[in-house]
Amino acid sequence: MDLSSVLHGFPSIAWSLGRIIAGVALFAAALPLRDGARWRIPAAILGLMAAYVVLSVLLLMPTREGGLAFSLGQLATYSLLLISCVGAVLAVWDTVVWTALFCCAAGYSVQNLASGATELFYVLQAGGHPGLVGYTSQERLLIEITCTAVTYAAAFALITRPLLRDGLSPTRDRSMLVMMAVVIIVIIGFDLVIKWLTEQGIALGAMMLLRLFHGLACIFTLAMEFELLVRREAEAERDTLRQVIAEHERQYEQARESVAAVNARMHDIRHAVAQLGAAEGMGSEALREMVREIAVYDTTVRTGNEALDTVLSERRFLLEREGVALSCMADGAALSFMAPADIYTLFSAILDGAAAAGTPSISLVIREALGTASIHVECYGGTPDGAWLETGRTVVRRYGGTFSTAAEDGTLHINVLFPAR
Amino acid sequence: MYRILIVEDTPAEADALRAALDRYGAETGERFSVTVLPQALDFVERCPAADLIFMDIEMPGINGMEAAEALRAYDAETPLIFVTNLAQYAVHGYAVDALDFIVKPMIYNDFRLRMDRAMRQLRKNDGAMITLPTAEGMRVVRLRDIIYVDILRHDLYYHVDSLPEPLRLRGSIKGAANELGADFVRVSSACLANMCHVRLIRQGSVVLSNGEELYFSRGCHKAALETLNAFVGRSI
Repeated sequence: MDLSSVLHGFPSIAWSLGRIIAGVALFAAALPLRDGARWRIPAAILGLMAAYVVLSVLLLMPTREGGLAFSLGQLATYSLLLISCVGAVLAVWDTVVWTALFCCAAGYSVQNLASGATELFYVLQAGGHPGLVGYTSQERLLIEITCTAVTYAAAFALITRPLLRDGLSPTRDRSMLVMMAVVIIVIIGFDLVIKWLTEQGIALGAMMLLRLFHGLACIFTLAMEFELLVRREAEAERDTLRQVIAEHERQYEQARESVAAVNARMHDIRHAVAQLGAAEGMGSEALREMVREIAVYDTTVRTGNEALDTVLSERRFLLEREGVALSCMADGAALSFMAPADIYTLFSAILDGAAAAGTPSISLVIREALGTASIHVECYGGTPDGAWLETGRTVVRRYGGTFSTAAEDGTLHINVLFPAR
Repeated sequence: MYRILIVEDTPAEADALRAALDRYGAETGERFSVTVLPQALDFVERCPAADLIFMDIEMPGINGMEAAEALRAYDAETPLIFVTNLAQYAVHGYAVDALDFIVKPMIYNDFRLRMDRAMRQLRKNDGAMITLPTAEGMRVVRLRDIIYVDILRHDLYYHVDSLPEPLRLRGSIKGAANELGADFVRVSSACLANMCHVRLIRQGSVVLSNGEELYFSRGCHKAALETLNAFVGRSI
């Protein structure tokens, strides 16, 4: 292969690369774009094209087209291009290298599936003869575009749409991801071997079987990746959250009972003091002082939401013991769409997180504003504590809310917003 | 200079607040003129103008919560901070859109936390102006009157409250965002909305005071909701 054929083959390079880029984008579309995506995207595409041309010149030019060395060169080109794609995804989307690797490996699988389907179509149409019998280049392009479009549309419906809905989170199982990337390279090698065998001339039945296995390998790899990254992560997250919520449900019930018991006791004491007042004459200054003292120790918070009342009453008592002052202004009705255990979990996490941040003072405001339910927490002299806040973030995400934290001038801000439904 | 009104029936408590304001002023360089009203009734009858109000809740006659309700009947914006002996009394302060409350006896750090938030609100309420070089000449508009800004082929369109047609000028959204400041949220790469004019926040859009609905672009969605979250939470 010489330089002129590389240049001559530029439309073909652009087409192959376009298919790979579209395949990768099918998965990366679920990720948030970086700032300046408008210039990052063309820059990444140009970078990939340059990488493809350079790899073709270095690895394919010294070889003879159709030979084993050429196929090996192609394999090396695609492998190195996979790494370049990871860089391109990292440049365009705000993500980590592992998620980028997932997107690229999965994108390669879809591209390979489309390529395999096109090859199978050709050979079947040609009655088992190798090559492109009876097709003009325009017809060939049309067939390639159709096969690619059908495969990609199926991948979009089955994979991208659920990803866009659920989001793509970085996996913890990194070694498996590397393994998957290796599998993709093996599949590409498999594809090249089938092409080589077809050119050498093998029986139609054998070729169809090989293509079938190749297609199945692509689908299996995709399914495994999807299972590995999306479903297993989501299930792990759901399991952890379910455990946390189950634990909090139990705690909530206990807290509700204790707060109710304290309130009943407080009611009895107030009643006894009132009776004492009736007997001794309510004018006594000491008695008035006692009524006042009792009111100070009455930790009950009444916000119009039982779960919120319980968690605030309980936590205020615990925080006061640790010398942390909690002031809250709360419209409990604003959170009526949340399950009691979730409210308990969310506010336990926020308040425990704020307390763990070492603040002497927490201010909490819950209100309805602009059609949203808004929670605002400020902790003077606090720094965010990741673990507690992550639990809160998970609960908020389940209700489609936004959870953000910021530390400014020595004050930690936690803001939660549930948009209008 | 900001006008601070303290409605407090106990002179010692009013003095403590005044001292805290002096200290805050010395620390931050802000200047305050402080007026004390010893009765909520005076407040309700005279309706004195102020930039920030500290209101005691337990007062003889009309209590602080009732006085705040009266205030909100004619003034929805002046920031209000309750001062109370008992935290329980202030739990429903959201109903009169109070910023927060301070429990007596006051601790300066608690006070400072609330003052920081109040100052953010006060700066938001001021009438900052912007000069726009339109094709028809220079126009000066108040920042708070701008509802949203969008761009069409290098032309910025400033949609201003009370103007029937948007003001058109050359520029970029990035430049406009820098000039307009923190109250504006980027809804999409071609549009900035004034959060003071947002009336409803939906998962995928915001509805503005003029009834128009602006949809978040995918690239801006997350950041826009986070900015709106901080705005509604009064962190910015």
